[in-house]
Amino acid sequence: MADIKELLPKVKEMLVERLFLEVAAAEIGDDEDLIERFGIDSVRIFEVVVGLEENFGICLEDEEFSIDNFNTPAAIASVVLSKSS
Amino acid sequence: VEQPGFIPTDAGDSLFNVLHLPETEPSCCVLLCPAWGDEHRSAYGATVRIARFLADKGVAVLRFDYSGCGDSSGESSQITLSTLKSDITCAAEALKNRFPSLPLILSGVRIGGDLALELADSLAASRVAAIAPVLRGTTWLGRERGRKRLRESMIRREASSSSATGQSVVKPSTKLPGNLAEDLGGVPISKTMLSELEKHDLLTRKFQPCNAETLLIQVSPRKTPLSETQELAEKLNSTVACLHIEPFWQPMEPGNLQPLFEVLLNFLPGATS
Repeated sequence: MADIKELLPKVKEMLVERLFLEVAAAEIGDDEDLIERFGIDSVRIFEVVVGLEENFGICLEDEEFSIDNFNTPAAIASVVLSKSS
Repeated sequence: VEQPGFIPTDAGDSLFNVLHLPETEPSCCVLLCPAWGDEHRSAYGATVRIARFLADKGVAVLRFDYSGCGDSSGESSQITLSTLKSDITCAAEALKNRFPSLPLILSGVRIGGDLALELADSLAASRVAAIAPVLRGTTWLGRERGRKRLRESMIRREASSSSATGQSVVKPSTKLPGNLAEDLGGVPISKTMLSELEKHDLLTRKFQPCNAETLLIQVSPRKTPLSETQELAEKLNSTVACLHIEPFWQPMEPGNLQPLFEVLLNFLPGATS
């Protein structure tokens, strides 16, 4: 199973693709607040959820749809790890 | 030329529609089957752009609002998959009556794409283009519920930061009117609709043999079809086009739709590029 260090670059690539961010994936900090830096709202975060389904094959439960799970690349990677274990 | 009008339905409602006509004799006619719910509102601008683009390329295009949506009459709380299909059928018949000698093409967005595929045989459509079809009603419901939860979570986050600064935040209403099954962010879901959505599954549905040529348009950064898209494509003997464009049925700027325009144009018989 991948660890969080392996996952983070993939998560950031997905964020750049899904959210059409005009920034290189590597330039996004692991703990950077996506809402504050990119002005992402719940609609855009939802695109991340779709990306998790398509890229990582994970499906979220109702209680996991929380902003806290998606506001940083590290938080997103943690969700992927927890769903993959 | 854009001709607005109303189409009467069997249920007594009137479907608001706009017929987009090319300047020359049309080569074919396209019925645009809209998305539904929040996605219908969000995709509205893109739908108009698609219709205008195709009309400019020599295609007659009819776009309409489902009963209970947009400028059509009817109650949104009464909408079911059956009423959506009935509305598509009424609109298609109106278009065929207007252009009896032209091939009918159905193009649907999201759930409209699913229903266009389902109705292709009964409407004798010659081609169907399904744009980002939902495929499974349970998937659509799960995502809409997730979206609602994310919105609520965002409001809570805002509330906690605002309370620190003394600002007030409007709390989301949790009261559900009437006998609705649920409310998905302002979109009422009747018990019948919920039941139909839970059963809706294009991957297990038995399709009648159909002469229509079908195109599935996948909207995703992925350059290859997702497994479910591929499965449906094999079942329907469809072509798949993979487009990396913004999901224009979400409430955001639709971005560059030119790749979608080109795919649709190449799919239509006799359209001028």
